[in-house]
Order: sequence, then C-alpha cells, then structure tokens
Amino acid sequence: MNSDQIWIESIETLREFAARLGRVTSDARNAFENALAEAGRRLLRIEHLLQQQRSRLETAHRRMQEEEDGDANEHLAREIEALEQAVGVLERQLILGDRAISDFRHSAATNLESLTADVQRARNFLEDRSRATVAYRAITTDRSQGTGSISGRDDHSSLSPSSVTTVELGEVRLPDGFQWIPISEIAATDLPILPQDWNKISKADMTHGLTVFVKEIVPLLQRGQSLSAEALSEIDKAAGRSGVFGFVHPDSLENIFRVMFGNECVAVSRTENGWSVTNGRHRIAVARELGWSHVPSRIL
Amino acid sequence: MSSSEYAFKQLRQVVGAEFSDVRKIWKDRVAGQFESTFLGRIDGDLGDLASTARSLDQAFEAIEQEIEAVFNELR
Repeated sequence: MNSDQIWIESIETLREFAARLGRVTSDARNAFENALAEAGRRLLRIEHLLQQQRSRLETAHRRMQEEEDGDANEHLAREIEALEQAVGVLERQLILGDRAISDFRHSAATNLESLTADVQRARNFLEDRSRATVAYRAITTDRSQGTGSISGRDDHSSLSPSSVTTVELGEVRLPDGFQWIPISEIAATDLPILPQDWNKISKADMTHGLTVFVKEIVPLLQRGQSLSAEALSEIDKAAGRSGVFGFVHPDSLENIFRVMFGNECVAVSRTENGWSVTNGRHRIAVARELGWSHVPSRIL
Repeated sequence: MSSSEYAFKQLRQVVGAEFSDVRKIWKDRVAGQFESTFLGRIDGDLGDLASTARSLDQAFEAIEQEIEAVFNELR
C-alpha cells in the first residue's frame, strides 16, 4: 500500500468515526424510546390488573348484597377486604410506576441533550482534524525537490511522503477572470530595472512571495481545487502562519493569493506586438528573473 | 439488566472499539486529548443513560414484587 492509500484511508477513518458518532445520538434516542415503551407496557399490565381487581371487587359487593347465608357473607367480606387491599396496592404502585417513567423521561432527556451536544463537539473536532490533515498535506512542500514540486505529509500521523508532482506553469487552471500570459510577449521596457524602482516593496520580499506562490498555491490550483482567500486563511491558521497585530506572515497563502488574484493583481492589455502592463510590473520582473514562462494576469 | 441499559452499554463499547482505529492514525498526545475530553464526556453521557435506564427497570421490579406479594396473599 503506498502512502497516498494510507493517507486516504486515514482521512476515511476519521470521517467514518465522525459518522459513527453521529449515529450514536440516534441509537441512544432509540434505546431511550425502547425503554419508555417497555416501561409503558409494564404500566399497562398493572392497569390491567387493577381493572381486573376492581371488577372482581364490584362482583363481590353485588354478591354480598344478594347473599343471605351468614357463612357465605363472612367469606365474601374477607374476599372484599383482600380485594380492596389489592386495589389499594395496585393504585399506589400505578402512581409509583407513572412517577418512575416521568423521572426517567426527565433524566434521560437531560442526558440525551448532553450526549447530543458532546457528540457534536467531538464531530466538530474530528472534522477540524480532517480539514487540518488535508490542508497540511496540501501545503507541505518538499523543498529538496525544487520549484513546483510538492509532497504530502500529515502532521498528525507517521505517514511517509507521497509522490512528487511537477508543476507546469501555463497549464494550470487559474481562478475565473485570469489567464497565464507569456512573459516573453511583454515588452521588457515596461518592467522596473533600477533600485529606486523598488520603493514600495523590497525585491527580496517579492521574490519570496512569488516563490511561495509557485511552490504552494500553484500545486493546489493544479489539483483543480477551487481556491479562495478565506480557504487559504484556514490553511494558514492550520499551519501556524496567520498574521498577528497587523503583521502579515511572509508565507501567508491568503496574502499571496490576494496579491495575485485580488484588486491589485497583474493587469495587462493587448497591443499589436504583445501585452502592455497596466499593473504588476514588479511582479512580472521578478517572475521573469525566477524563470517563469507565464504570469497570471487579468486582461483588460 | 434491561434491554435498554444493555443497549446504552453496548453503545459505549462500540464507540470505544471504533476509536481504536482512529487512535492508530493520531499521535498519542492528540488521541489522549480526544479520549479524555470528547470520548470521556460521551462515555459519561451514555453511562448516565444506562444508569437512568437501570433505575427505571429497578423501580418496576420493586413495583412488580410488591404486587406479586399482594397476589400471593390473595391466593
């Protein structure tokens, strides 16, 4: 079994367990209903016995009124006394049974409510773990393999690295509204070359951001995943690279995604000879230095 | 043991047994954390339900014994 199969089975195990936990609540509810039904049947038997004894008591009273023989009357009186005692006991036990069912219904309902809440919390935890495991696998890069190659590692298991996938720029599907534009078709004269051209952001920071883009976001796009800044924010959180106090983590996928596909994306328009750059000259310059063949752009 | 009490106890066993598969894919610390918090609570809830079902069963056993004693006297 290869590591991909192990990983898939691990995720499946987590999800199956979460589903099983979901069934625990309904199974417990069924057991509760069964217990109530059984207690109800036992209560009905007592009610039935009570009706029988009341009926016998009525008969005994009628016979007593009709009977003229003294000995027979004495015998009937003892029978009536015993039946009255039995009816009294049955009436008391019926009340006790009714109270026992009521207590059970109240206590078990509280227990079931607690169980439902605890099961939901456990399932939420399992689902978070599944998502985090998927995210870790998706973003963990094998830096020894160079640009554009990825490998999966689950931080929570002892799984071995998975196979390596080579990323071919220009063939990877981009978010709606974006296209890969060949850098060779962009006039070099459009791009910044002087040190003073880098006053908004350092070239080193931009180079780092684009390197992370290729190593971590492009492989996700290559897998056909529909990405959003919000989804990548979750991955950042899982990987411990969320920004704090206004500081943007240099490896934040959310930030890099917003830079590449947000309002400040690279924007170009068609010219007779190729493409004219409206926004993103610095990114295109760095991408060219990094050896990219294409750059993701919005066409105006 | 009533069938309901047995059902709740069975559920506790099933959850515990199925968690053993999950334990294999987690580190001990994470598995232990899940076990002591989430599973512990679920197990406690199911234990409470089993105990409640036992109380109901015992209440009816006491009621039926009382009735049985009266009917023995009647005979």
